Amino acid sequence: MNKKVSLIIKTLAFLAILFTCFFGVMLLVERKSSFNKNQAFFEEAKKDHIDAFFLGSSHVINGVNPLQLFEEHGYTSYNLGGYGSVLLSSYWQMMLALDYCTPKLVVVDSYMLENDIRYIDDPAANVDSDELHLNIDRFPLSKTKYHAINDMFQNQDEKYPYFADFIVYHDRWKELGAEDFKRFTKDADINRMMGAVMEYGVHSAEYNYVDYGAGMLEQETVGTTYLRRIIEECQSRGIQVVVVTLPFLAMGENQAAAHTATQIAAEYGVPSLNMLEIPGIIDINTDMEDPGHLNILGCQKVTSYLGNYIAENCPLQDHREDPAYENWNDSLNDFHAELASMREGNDDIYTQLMMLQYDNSDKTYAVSIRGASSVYGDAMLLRQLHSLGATEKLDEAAAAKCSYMLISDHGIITDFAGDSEEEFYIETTDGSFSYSPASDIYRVLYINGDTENNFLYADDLAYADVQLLFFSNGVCTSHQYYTSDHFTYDYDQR
Amino acid sequence: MQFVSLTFLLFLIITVGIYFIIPKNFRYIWLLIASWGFYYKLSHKLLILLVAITLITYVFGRLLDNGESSEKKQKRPVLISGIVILLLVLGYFKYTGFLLETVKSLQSAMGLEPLGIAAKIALPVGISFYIFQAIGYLADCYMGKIPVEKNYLHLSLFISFFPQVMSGPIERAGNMLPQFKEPESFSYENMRDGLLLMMWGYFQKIIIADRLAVLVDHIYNSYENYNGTLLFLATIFYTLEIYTDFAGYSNIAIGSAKILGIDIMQNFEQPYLSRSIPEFWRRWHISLSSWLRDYLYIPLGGNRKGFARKLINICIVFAISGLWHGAAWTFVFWGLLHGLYQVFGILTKPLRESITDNLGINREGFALKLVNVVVTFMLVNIGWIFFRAPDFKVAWYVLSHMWTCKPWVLLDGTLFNLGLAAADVRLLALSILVLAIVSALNYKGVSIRKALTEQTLWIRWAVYIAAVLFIVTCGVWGPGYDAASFIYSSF
Repeated sequence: MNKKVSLIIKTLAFLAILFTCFFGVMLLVERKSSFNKNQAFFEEAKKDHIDAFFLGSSHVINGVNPLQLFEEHGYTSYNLGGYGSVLLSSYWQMMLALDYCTPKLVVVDSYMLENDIRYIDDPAANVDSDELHLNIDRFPLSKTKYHAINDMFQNQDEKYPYFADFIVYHDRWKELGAEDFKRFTKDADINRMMGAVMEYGVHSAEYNYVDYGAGMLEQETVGTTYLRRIIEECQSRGIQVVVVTLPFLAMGENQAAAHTATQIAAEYGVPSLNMLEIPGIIDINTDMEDPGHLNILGCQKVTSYLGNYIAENCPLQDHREDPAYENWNDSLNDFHAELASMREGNDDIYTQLMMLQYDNSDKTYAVSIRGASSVYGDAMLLRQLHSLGATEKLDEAAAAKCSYMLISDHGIITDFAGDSEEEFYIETTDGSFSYSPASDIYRVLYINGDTENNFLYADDLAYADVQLLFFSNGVCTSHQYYTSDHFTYDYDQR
Repeated sequence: MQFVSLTFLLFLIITVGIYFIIPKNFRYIWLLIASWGFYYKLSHKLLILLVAITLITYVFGRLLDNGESSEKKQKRPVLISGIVILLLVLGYFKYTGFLLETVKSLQSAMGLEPLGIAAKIALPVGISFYIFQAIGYLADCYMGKIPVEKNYLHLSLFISFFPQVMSGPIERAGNMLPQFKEPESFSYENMRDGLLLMMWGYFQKIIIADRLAVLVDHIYNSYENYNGTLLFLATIFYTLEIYTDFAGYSNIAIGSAKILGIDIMQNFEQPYLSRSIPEFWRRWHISLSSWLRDYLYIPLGGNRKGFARKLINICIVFAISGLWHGAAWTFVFWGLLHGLYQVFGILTKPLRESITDNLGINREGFALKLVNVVVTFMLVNIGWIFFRAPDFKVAWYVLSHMWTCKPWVLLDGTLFNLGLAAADVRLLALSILVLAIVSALNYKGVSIRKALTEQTLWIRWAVYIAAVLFIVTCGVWGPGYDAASFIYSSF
């Protein structure tokens, strides 16, 4: 008998050690993207520091910045948007999150409301399994997760990797890096943007937003069913709901979906905000990464608008002065530091100009385009310069293919077009500028009368198409050169 | 439900758990239910065929029993009828398509209009294995080696037993039926040994064989793009793949049964360390080799009917062995080639011994042993080319183009461009080294498993845990992996 008991104890001890080690290996090899996106949620939810959830697809991930909301209104929220998410997966994302905290407000984006595919493993759903893993892997296996996976998938074999992601990630043993081992320490890299991801690109096409005069969706869809379930679930728990449609290049069916979302919100008596139909929130040609996703510029505008809407319709508590939320300020400072690092030195000219649009109020800078440059054919570049404040002189320069110069003194724009010996003088906060566009290639820019240093000419970069110069206290702090080859820009920095 | 699946592991845990809870008298019923359930998950409706085979075998067994006092001569028609029916079933499912294709080829060669029909018959999983087991049972009853089994469920379990129904080992009723009737109590040692065997099997299968399969398939799928050492390596890789694949399967099967306290015969004993082709066949797929010896070679007359007849019998047995493996002429050729190897070996034996003696070479010396092992390995390796190649054209291409020496492919990164990541190739090389060391030690009579169980608890546990974690982490399994890819499961 003693032998049997000893055997049982030994077996149990062995299994305990085995499973502990196995758990460690699971954490080591797991793909860290889900941990990265959602870990801050668990940390904040544990402290009950989340007052609002944002639900939706990647439109929401890229379109709503919780840190900006905190900065402007003191609202604490988490962006639970999921890559490739439809309303079905947003519903379950919310249910998973509700296991860890109960917010006061849920904001749900109606994108893909027209989607009528019941299961996300239906090939027609076109959902990338990696994306769903990213959205939910960090949520431990629970009763809710079990129901979520059973509800979202029809094929039993497709479900297993979501119940136990080791099934897909064990093969990562060959790509383990330092970040993987940091999973066991406190210094693992996690998303401090509270689930949001900023995009720093600009699409290259020129779009016009068309109002198709769409009505409503003709019938109930899987999307509408799950939007209703989200609203009903929130109402049953006493959580306020706002139904929104973030701006994007919507087609007729998308516009009908947005109208239907508004109607469903009205049925339940919850507020709704269809940003597709509010003119002027964003400029679709400069504020989007692609036709569907906002870039940081668009995100800033949309978040600001949304924050004001929440403040008016369902205000939340302002936590900015609460010392318990100090880490939100820390995250905000990190975000500002990242922005500061992005405002200069971008090798992508479009990103660089976009970052100048994002915030140029505290800088003096100059943009110079050489005469006869091919970049005058780059419509996207010209659009961005106009957004920065370029006047019709830019169009004149483009038409004549002559030299162009834009000087921004803390947001105050002065620009010049033409090639001549004439000298122009501009007084700025950061010095007195003297500009003379002698020829296509040879232009002169002196500062504070220092004629020894012409900032616009260097032998080795004489044919740079675009030069961008930042100034501070009479000193050029950064000089960026962009040389175009069929609108692909080579970059140099001095 | 394949062996390499979480479903199988779950199935095994439940089956073992219930097996040891229920009274011994009923355990065989539970095992039969589990085995049929296992087979149903594998082949769905074709479970009916398996059950039909068990019924046919049972009926003919009982018919053999009717005339217990009568002469063998009177039982022979019953035996032959039973065997013929079983072989007809096997033939229908496995060889109809082959026969039709052969007839069409002949018609085409003779300029006749080929038959316009095509066989679309699904091959039931494990049919070659369980029908051979059934035939073996009838033959043993006929020869009086075992009493006829009167309990249908016992016999049915013998033919359907889940660890071996898919790909053997092809067991003997005399070994298995007593174990079903008198099941052993739970034993920690059996459990441990079984799990260790399974782990070794998984190591062979999902660490080595499945990685080798990627390299081999990559080269064979576009064989015309390769020549020289890389083709030669592909043949070596396949030789290792088929061994680790089938031996891995066998170890998982034997280990699963061992956990239940049931001993199944060994199927492999370091075959690639054999010094001759006959020795290779005593070490490779032992359950089939011994089955063919007992139920085909000996009944054909074996070596009792003269020298010439002996050589003919060898060739017949090996040609049939080839046909058993696959319904294609390449398999027949592979089998026949092994038969011819043996015939050549027998014919040249006096000459080889005379040369060895005249040169004063020590027959038990390391050098001669090494030469024998290498030559045997190469002969076997050449045989596997016909086994792997889809047709003679490919086999001939590989055989004729693999001899150009280009050793730099081992060092210039070419191996990293054959469908496996560099880390996988390195892990594979290391694992093959481990396999070689373990095989060499086993050949010398050193059992790693036994040596391990003699270590202190902490060392044992550390090794067990490291092995489990290594296999589940580095094994080739999960989404995108074809769990049905045990090579022998298609035979």
